[in-house]
Amino acid sequence: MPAPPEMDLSNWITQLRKGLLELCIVSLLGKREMYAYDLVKRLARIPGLVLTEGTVYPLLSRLNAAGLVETRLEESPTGPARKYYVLSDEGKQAMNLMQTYWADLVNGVNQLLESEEEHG
Amino acid sequence: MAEWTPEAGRRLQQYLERVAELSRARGDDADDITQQLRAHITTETESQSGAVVTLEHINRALALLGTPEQVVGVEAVSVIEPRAEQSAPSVRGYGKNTSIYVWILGVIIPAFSLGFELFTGVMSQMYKDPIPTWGHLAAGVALIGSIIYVDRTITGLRAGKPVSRWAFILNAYATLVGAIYFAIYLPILPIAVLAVAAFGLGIMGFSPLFVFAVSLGQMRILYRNLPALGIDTSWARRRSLTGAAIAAAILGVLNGPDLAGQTLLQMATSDNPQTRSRGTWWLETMHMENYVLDSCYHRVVTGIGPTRRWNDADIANWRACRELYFRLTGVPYNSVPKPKPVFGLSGRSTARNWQNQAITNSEIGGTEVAGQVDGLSLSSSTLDANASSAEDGTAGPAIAYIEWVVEFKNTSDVQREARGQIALPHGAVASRLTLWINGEEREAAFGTRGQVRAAYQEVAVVQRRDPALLSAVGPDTVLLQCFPVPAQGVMKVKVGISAPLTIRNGKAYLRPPYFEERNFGIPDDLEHHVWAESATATLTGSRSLTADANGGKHSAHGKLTNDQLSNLTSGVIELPAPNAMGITYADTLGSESASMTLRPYAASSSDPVSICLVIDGSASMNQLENSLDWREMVNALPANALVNAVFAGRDVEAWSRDFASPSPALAEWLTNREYRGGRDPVPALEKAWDMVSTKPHAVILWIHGPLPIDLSSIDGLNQWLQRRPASASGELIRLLEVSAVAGPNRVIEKCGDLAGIERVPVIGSLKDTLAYAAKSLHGEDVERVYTLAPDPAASNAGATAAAHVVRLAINQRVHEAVRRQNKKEQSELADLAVKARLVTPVSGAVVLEQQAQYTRHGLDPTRNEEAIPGIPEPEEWALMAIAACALVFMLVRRKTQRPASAHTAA
Repeated sequence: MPAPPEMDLSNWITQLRKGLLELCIVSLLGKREMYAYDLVKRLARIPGLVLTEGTVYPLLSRLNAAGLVETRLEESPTGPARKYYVLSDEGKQAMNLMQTYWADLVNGVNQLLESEEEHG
Repeated sequence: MAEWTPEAGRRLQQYLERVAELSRARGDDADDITQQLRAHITTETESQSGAVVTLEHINRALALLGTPEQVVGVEAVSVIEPRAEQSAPSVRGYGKNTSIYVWILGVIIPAFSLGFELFTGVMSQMYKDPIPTWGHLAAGVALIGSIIYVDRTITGLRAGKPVSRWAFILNAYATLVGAIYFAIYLPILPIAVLAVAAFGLGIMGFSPLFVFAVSLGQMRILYRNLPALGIDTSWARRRSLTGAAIAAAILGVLNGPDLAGQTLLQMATSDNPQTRSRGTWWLETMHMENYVLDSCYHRVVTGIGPTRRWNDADIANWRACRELYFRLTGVPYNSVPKPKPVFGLSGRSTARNWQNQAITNSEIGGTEVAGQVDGLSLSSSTLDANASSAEDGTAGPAIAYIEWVVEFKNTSDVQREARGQIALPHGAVASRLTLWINGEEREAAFGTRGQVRAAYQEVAVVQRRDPALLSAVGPDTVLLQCFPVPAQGVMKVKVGISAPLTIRNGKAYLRPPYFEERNFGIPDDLEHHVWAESATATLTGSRSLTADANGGKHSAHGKLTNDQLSNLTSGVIELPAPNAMGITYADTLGSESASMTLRPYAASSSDPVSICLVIDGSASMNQLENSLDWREMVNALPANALVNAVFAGRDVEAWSRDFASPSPALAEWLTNREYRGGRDPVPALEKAWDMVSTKPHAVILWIHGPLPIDLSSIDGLNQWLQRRPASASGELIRLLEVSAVAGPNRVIEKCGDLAGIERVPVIGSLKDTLAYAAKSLHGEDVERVYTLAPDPAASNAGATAAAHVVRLAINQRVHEAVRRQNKKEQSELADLAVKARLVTPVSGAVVLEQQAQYTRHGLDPTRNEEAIPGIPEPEEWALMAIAACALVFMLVRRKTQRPASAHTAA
């Protein structure tokens, strides 16, 4: 019995989101310094991008471990201490590469999809 | 910083541990991830949940974060959006229409009841006062507010609104307070049921039940939803216990003083002496005098806690409180302003007035002045005095007639009885009572003491008509009673007094009468208008009085405040004392004749006198700090006297085991005593009597303040006075008593007529009086010898105002008969006193409204009308001057005819 189509699709979506999520994170941090909770809430506003807010934190941790972001802690008057993230120089280079790659990819995929629609 | 329920904390910990486990498996920085997740959840939940973070809040936050597997990326997420609500447990709020019932039973009816009680005081009259103080009212309002808060919380459950800890705290507060109110008011619930069934009224009586039931129901709903709310039961219980503790603390603070006061009052009025002493000590230490004063008026003060309502029939309780108040303060309870109601609006004040009225009614027509009544005051006072004089410009027989017109005003809405104990000048007798009825002066009828009191009680207490009563309560003291002083009206009476002047150090003194105990107020700005006149003798008075002469008569006049009038050392009017002694003054009153001779006291024996000082240890003596000098008094004692002293303090203390010469050590000992509370003088007097009775030429000098209460029986003292009246030398033991502070003295009232007791009036300063008494061992320079028979040898020496000799002679005979306890003689003298229209221990005066009332009691106000004394009108002075001239002429002529004739001594 074949697996339900949505299960296969969900895996595809998951993989797609993971890649895009990293792109979005570095893009946001490339513009300004942000703290984690704020970053998560900002990403959550992009429809369909973040289904589970918790997934952002491992990604941030990995970006930090890879040296693409730099962090600092700051006390908050209303809650726990905030950890602020900002792109390192390496992170900025990575962001440029990722954005270039994403633009080419979107352009190519769009062309493909449009030509398929015309033929279809 | 929000508070986390334990379950919420545990849930988060489990989640993070799982995330950390998976992160480490993937080679991620587990600490960094979990730290960030914890901060995220904290920010998320605390911004949404308010004060308390429950399991429900955590579950919602975690649902948004995703499972640990999703977070770490080891599990694919579903395309179906996670719905936190799906996993949240469901809650159960009110049933259908329940909220309406909660509002009607738990809010509207209790709030109405509270408001109704606030304005009317109905419940406080019927049973117990639920809101005796503003604090109790606030506690009641908080109770209703708590029910509303919990109601809003329960209503918000279905909408997913969080439950704060205050819901549990306030609910527990409301439940406990409601339970206590319910328990207290349970006894009247059956009455409320009957009232509702019969009349449709009385729903207020159900309020405590409703409040309790609603709070209990709300508590049930809150606790039933604990699992659904993800709230740990133990956490909720702790909040409930907090609420209960707050309720208990508030009730404790509000009712603690009442509870403590009632307990201590019961101890202090116990039959057991040790318990009584302990209770008194605690009340004194905790300065609860005002609480005791409040209880003297058996005012109803009840709260959520215990009741302090004396049963009206249980007279002993409030009587005991009055005694206790004196024991604590040394001050008569009715000499200080009546305590105001602790709390009350107009309606409640009216209710309290009715309560007090019921109490006051029980005292109408009684023989005690009792407590102050609301709204009754002295509105005017006029004192006219006519002092005797002789042609030599002295006071002659040293007698004055005083008329005191007082008007009482009642601003309350109920009838009041004015009662006042009047301190007469020493040796005086009340000889007139006049009451104004409908603007007309009505003279009193005189009858035997029992006769007039029975008439007064019937007319005043039963018929509630217009009588006034004047009766003797002790030596130099009469009780004036007037009823009713109408609501919002006035009542005016006049008291006539025949008074001997006090002769001391060559001067004659008139000490005006004053109220020494009263149940009415005297405004601070009230002034007694005083006017004393004499035909020939020059009068001088205190600084407030002006002395002058006009139209051939001398006068001293002015206005005295009540403090000046009742202060023993002020308000005294002075005249030149008669130069010659041994003159006999005679007079007739109807068919009665009497004479009086002023005679210096016989020179005292050269043998040493044994003097025992008895000093009142009451706090009232502290008032005399500046006017009392023990050293000066001790120095004034006769040099050859042998002295001892007994101090009536907490215990009876003697200065020395035996009598010794006066010394500074005695003055120092007296100065160092502790004058505190109200002390019983009777044991000290008994001890003094015991000490002096074996000594020769014995004198007791008793210096005391007010004693408004019988603190102990005087039977023992009476026994000493009667069984051992004489000292070892065979002379009568004399007890000189000095009232150093104005006020009633129950021991003097009861024993004053007994042999040997001699009053020493305070004239001038207390220091001078004590020095005089210590030196002379008498109250004045002369003794008056009265004879109730015509005396053809009497000279009168051109004196005026000697017409009161008969009255004073009869009065003295009555007191002697009382002293001898000769009932037959007293009965005979009662007829004489009635005939002479005198208020004595065996006779009194009463004014009634109708002739029928007099007839029913065998009284006749017109009997011996010719014996009614009066102040001479101005035109009478001319006649009196002529009469004086005639007398002088006759005297001169008689002396010329009978040069050998000497002035007769009685």
